[in-house]
Amino acid sequence: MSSTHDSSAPFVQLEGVTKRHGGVAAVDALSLTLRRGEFFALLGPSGCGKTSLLRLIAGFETPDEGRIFIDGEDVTGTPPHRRPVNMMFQTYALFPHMNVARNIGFGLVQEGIARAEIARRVTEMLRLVQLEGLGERRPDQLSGGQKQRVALARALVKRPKLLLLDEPLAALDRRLREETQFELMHLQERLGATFLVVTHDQREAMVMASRIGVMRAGRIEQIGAPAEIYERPISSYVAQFIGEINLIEGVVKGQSAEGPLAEARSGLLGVSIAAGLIDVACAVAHAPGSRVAIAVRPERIRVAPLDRAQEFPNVLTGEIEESAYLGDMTLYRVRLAGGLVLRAAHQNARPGAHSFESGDRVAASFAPDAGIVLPA
Amino acid sequence: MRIRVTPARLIALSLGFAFLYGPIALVILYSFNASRLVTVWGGWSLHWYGALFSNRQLMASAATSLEVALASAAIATVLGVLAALGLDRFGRFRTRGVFAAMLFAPLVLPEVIAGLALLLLFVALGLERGFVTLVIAHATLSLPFVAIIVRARLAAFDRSLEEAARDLGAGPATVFRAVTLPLIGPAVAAGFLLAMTLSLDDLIIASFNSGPGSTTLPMRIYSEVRLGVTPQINAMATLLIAFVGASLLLATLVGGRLPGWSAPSDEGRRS
Amino acid sequence: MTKAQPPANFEAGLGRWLVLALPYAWLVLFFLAPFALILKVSLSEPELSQPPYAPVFDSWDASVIVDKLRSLSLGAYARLIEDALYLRSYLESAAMAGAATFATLLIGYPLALAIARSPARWRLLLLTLAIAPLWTSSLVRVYAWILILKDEGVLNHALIALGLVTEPLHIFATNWAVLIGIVYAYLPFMALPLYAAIENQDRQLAEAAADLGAGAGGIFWRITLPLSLPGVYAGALMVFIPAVGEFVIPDLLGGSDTLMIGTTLWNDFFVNRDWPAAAAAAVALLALLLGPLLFYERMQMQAGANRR
Repeated sequence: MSSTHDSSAPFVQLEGVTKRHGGVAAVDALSLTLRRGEFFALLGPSGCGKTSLLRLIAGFETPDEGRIFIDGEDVTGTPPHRRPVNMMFQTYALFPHMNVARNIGFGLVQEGIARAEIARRVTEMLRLVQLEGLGERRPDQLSGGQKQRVALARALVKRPKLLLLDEPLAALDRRLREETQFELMHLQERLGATFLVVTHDQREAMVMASRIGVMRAGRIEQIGAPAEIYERPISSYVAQFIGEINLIEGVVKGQSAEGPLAEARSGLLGVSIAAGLIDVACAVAHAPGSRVAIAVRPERIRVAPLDRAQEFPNVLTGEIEESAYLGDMTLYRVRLAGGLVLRAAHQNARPGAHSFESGDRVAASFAPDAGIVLPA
Repeated sequence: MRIRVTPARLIALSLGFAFLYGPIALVILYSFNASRLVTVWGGWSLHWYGALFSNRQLMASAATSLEVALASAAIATVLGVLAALGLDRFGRFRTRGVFAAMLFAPLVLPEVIAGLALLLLFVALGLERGFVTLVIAHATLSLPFVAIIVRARLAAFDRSLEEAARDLGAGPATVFRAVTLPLIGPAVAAGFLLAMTLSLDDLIIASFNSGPGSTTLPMRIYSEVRLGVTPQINAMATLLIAFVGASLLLATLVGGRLPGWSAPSDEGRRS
Repeated sequence: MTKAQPPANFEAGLGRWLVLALPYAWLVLFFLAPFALILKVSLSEPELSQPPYAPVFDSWDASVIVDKLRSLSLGAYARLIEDALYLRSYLESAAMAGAATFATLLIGYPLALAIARSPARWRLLLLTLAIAPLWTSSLVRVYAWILILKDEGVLNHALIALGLVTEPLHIFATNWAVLIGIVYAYLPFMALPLYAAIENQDRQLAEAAADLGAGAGGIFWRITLPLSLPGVYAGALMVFIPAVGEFVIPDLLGGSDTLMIGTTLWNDFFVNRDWPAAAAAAVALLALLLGPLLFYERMQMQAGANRR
């Protein structure tokens, strides 16, 4: 067993793990390393294999190929009840025939801990999740938020080195979910345990996690800090999954060795799209004639009257198709020549800021470093 | 916990099914026994089947049984469907509790009591025991089973289908004929089959309520078994098993499932 | 002016009345009335004329009824209590049904568990196989055990051939044979509710228990079994109730010392032709079943209250 508490040391390691369900690989030759004490989120749509991955780590399923290490120990064949891992289930899986205190104490009873000690630690957990005095209640007498806390307390009472959370907030309503996101973060900081949460909600992942792994069809497409994933997605799949994005397809015209943005250390890529020609900052070489997709976040697209078009780079003219005033911002759909529709989000920083109506002719533009060049 | 076939589960399944099917298999095996001694194997033979078909008494009771089963199942199905409709569609009425109790009490009633009670009624009414009393008795006791099956189906199906038909201008009778009946059809058929099976199988109620001319097959078999085991009974039993097996197979092939229950739910979806 | 409100839709009201009236009338006539009759006959005196009882109420004249009420005969019940035979057959029926219920549970639980935990595509087939014997003639299934258990039967042949015993085992015509027969006949009734209760369980509960450190045994005793108790109660009820009143099995497989209330009632009626005694036995048998039924009802109510 490793005794180092170096936060960068690998704590959970998956090496080439594959799990097939009826011939289909739910998890496909996946490797992943979690650091001690981090809050990691596995993000992906349903069916991408993230829950299967969680169940492999918990020990409910054994991989067809590959190995799993937790804290330096090979646990690939270890049954769930012998792993230093606890799980919070999406449906909470509270035992309906036991009250709250017995639910929370269940794991301690299995360890053969003395009654008084169990009672003490259950009380401690009830306080931690702010459910003091509800120990005698049955699960069906609790609200959704209370059940969620009981499930959390039950999973934490054994002080697991690794806590797995399967869509922990999915069953809560929106307000409660936002509050609980922060509570989970504080709890993780206080306990110093490693949290691995599975979610399909990108906002939730970005709020809570220090690192996010975006999954696609049994593999991890990209790992990184929330800002990294948002700002520099490596594929259109990731770009579309995290937040809103415009994807503009085009053909590379040419690449300049050095662009105007010195700090970006990148050249400008000239790309021909249906609506015109645009320049995008890009550090990677692309041969002229190759097909690419340019991804631009809606909030990076500026919408201006046509007469101001000369002021901006990458101007694409078009017509406002729809506008939606949301208070803090206004959303526009701009139909460009050639048919592509761009989504633009205009922050209403000042009252009475310029607004457009549908039918207005406008100039949509974005800075060269706002575009991300992705493989088409 | 995990869905797999562990050795312990395999043993439980093997022993359980061996216990359930071993005796039945033995009866079938010995029906082809050439030996007159029931438990000594004397080679293969169809002799007892021949003897069986020339047993006029046995054949006559088989016919009686079938007639009683068909008639009583038909009555039980009509009344059972009406009772299920009354319970499920009419909400609360004043004596609903009494009605439900009367309807479902026969389910937990020992057959000896039911048989005796009905007999006393027929005597009090001055009804001569025979085919009619037998049909009434069997219909009364299989009625609850039909009602339960049909009511489960009624409770499961989407009420807005009926409401939609009402909304589109159909009267209550039309709604029943055009919407309700087709939807509960499989349950009604299942109820009818079950009612027939119950009637064909019954010995006790029939013994109390049948007359001289209406001896049913179970009554005949019972009196023969009491006299001692004969190879002919093995053959009779085998034919009964084959008959039931064939109808079950047919019902499964036609309806996709056995009458009386629905398929167990599949495993929960996983992402 | 404000008479009884006519139904919103008169046609529907009439149809509704008819739909209910038919089964209602049938049940009152053929279910409720016979019960009243059983009570009445159990209170009358046996007589050798046809039908073999002297009616208690044969007139609706008030004075006659009062007279008759004074002379109501509790004779049949008195015999039930005095006659050691009845008392014994009561106790033995209850004991036999209890033992058979327990044995059925012991055999049925592993079977139901194995079926419920088998791969989903096998489950329906296995469940069907477990219940299919119910569709075959119950008489044939009891008869099969005569073939097996007789002194010169299949079991003894096999045991002697294997050298396990030298003398045939006397199982046939004993209470053991009756026990085996009841367990065999009612096993599907136990397996079905058990299966439903186990299959219904959220599989994640077992996983959660394993995750918290429970091994296979811990999961069974602390999660699976307690959660399947409603199925256990339902199964026990479905075996115990018909087993108490069983007639065919003790009659065909039992011996001369086998006493069950169903056989006693049958003999009173068909052999001794003492209808009042048979009716009194029936009433007493009903009373015997009331206990388990009330217990079950209470369990159901509790489960309902917990769900709320």
